[in-house]
Amino acid sequence: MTRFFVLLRRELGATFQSFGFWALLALVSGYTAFFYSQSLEARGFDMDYALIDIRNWLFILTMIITPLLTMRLFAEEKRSGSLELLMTAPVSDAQVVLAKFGAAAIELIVFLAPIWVLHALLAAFFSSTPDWGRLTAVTVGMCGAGFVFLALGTLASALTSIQLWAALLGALLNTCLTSLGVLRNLFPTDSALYRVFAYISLDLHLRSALTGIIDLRDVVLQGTLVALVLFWTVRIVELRKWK
Amino acid sequence: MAHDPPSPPSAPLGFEGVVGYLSSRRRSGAWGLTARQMIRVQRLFKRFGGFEALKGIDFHVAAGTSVGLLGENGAGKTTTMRILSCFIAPTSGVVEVAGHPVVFESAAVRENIGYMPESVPIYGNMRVEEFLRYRARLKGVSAKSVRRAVDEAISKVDLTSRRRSLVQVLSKGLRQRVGLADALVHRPPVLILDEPTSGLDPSQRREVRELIRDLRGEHTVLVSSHILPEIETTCERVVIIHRGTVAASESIETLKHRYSEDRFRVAFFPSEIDVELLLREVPDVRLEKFEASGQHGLGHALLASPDGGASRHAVIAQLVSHGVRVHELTGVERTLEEAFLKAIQGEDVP
Repeated sequence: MTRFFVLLRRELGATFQSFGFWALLALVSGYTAFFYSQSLEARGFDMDYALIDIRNWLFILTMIITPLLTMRLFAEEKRSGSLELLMTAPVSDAQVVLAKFGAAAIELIVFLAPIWVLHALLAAFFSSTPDWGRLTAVTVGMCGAGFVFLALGTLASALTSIQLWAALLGALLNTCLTSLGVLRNLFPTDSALYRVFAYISLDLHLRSALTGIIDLRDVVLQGTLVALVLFWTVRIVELRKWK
Repeated sequence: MAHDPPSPPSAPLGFEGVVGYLSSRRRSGAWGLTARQMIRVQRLFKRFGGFEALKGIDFHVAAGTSVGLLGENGAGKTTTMRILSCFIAPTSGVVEVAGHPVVFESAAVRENIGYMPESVPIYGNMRVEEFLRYRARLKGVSAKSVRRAVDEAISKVDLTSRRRSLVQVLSKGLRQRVGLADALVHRPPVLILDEPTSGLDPSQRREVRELIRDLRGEHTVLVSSHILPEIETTCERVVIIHRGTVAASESIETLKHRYSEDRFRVAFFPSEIDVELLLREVPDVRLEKFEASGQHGLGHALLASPDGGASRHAVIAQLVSHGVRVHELTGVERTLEEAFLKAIQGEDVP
């Protein structure tokens, strides 16, 4: 376990020391604040409706930001050759994959944090009473979807040594997975295929979060997808040994 | 009563092969190596797609010794080292480091080795001390001992004045030292160094060479290089790999004697007799160079012979019996380069 945390710390250190990360965070936070204020104004300062808008924005943001957070995880190590140094240390491939994914997950949470800050500011300075429960459910739902995207991005990064390709492939996988849910509309609502596509639709699973509910089925789906994709990633990282 | 270790699987490691090999090793109680062998490589094969990089190589490295892995570019040195450090897996064969097979106990192997890859890929955005602390913790050094371990490694490679420097601003030579400190930081019994002096200037090369020489005894060192004088000064034994096979594996002195001829130079006073013809008549002696009159008015001849002393006597006897006055006869040192070339070419060196 110590080695996992050593790796996690190193990954976080590398990200938090980079100017690019803070620049991106500032940009995203600024735009989120602007978007939220516009939404509040348009919705007559009804925070419940504004939360629906912000949830949509956060979903798009998560789709865009996750490939950027994961693109360098393995691609950069492969390009610079440091993967050889890393993999010849006494750590397992699974520990490396999990630590890199864990670091990316923490970074995503940092990107989602500004929405909490905005709500706290509204509560402090405008005497509004945000629905903290719904906000928590939305954040948890967003994290769940985001973690699936991060896992796909980690897999993409393990497949190439070029960061740009990793980011593009990650974005493509995110889009494909999100589009799968839309395919349900091709089938009658009472058909089995409709139910299958509806079940794997990340977007539909986020809807329950808006009502303030953390549905265990959503958590199971997202958890399963993350575990499955990370398992493939470990296998791909291990492949270098047997090529 | 000790049992002999079972023969390693010679076929590619399929499921049955793996299970059979493991159980036979357990039955024989011969899981580890003999105390004297820290690295054992037996019938090692590695195939990359259709290309066979290693074709059944065998060698071993005794504890506390340093062995040089020699070979031309593409001979299979780096592949062998990558297998020993568990970065890639063998296609078949037995590879054991510090008593642990690299395929089945890869984590234990990696705990026992300090590996320095050829290009020394170190994170440029970290400071030397920070990088070594990170690596020490990753290699299992406890939080309490990490400072001492890092200090020791830094002082061993003489990086004390640069411990706060960012890795990316260091020269190549200093980076090599950081790589070496990384390999040493957890005090592993086995050091595997792939081309540790490549790209260094002569003075940096000498420093690294001296450092490696100092590590002998305390660590078992396997170092690869194609710079032969370097191997000659740092290693006791060499393993020559040529096109994926072991062309020779022995001590440097034995190798020189086995693969290089006895060479000697004869200086003689000018004579009216055809000395060149006389020397050509001596059996088992090859005349490599002849100069009837050269420096200080003396004639010079460079001769080579496979049987050493006897030929030297025969040359002297031949010249003296024909009235040629010999000024001196001096031996020419045998070189590892000559032995290496002969070992890989299997023919005489011009």
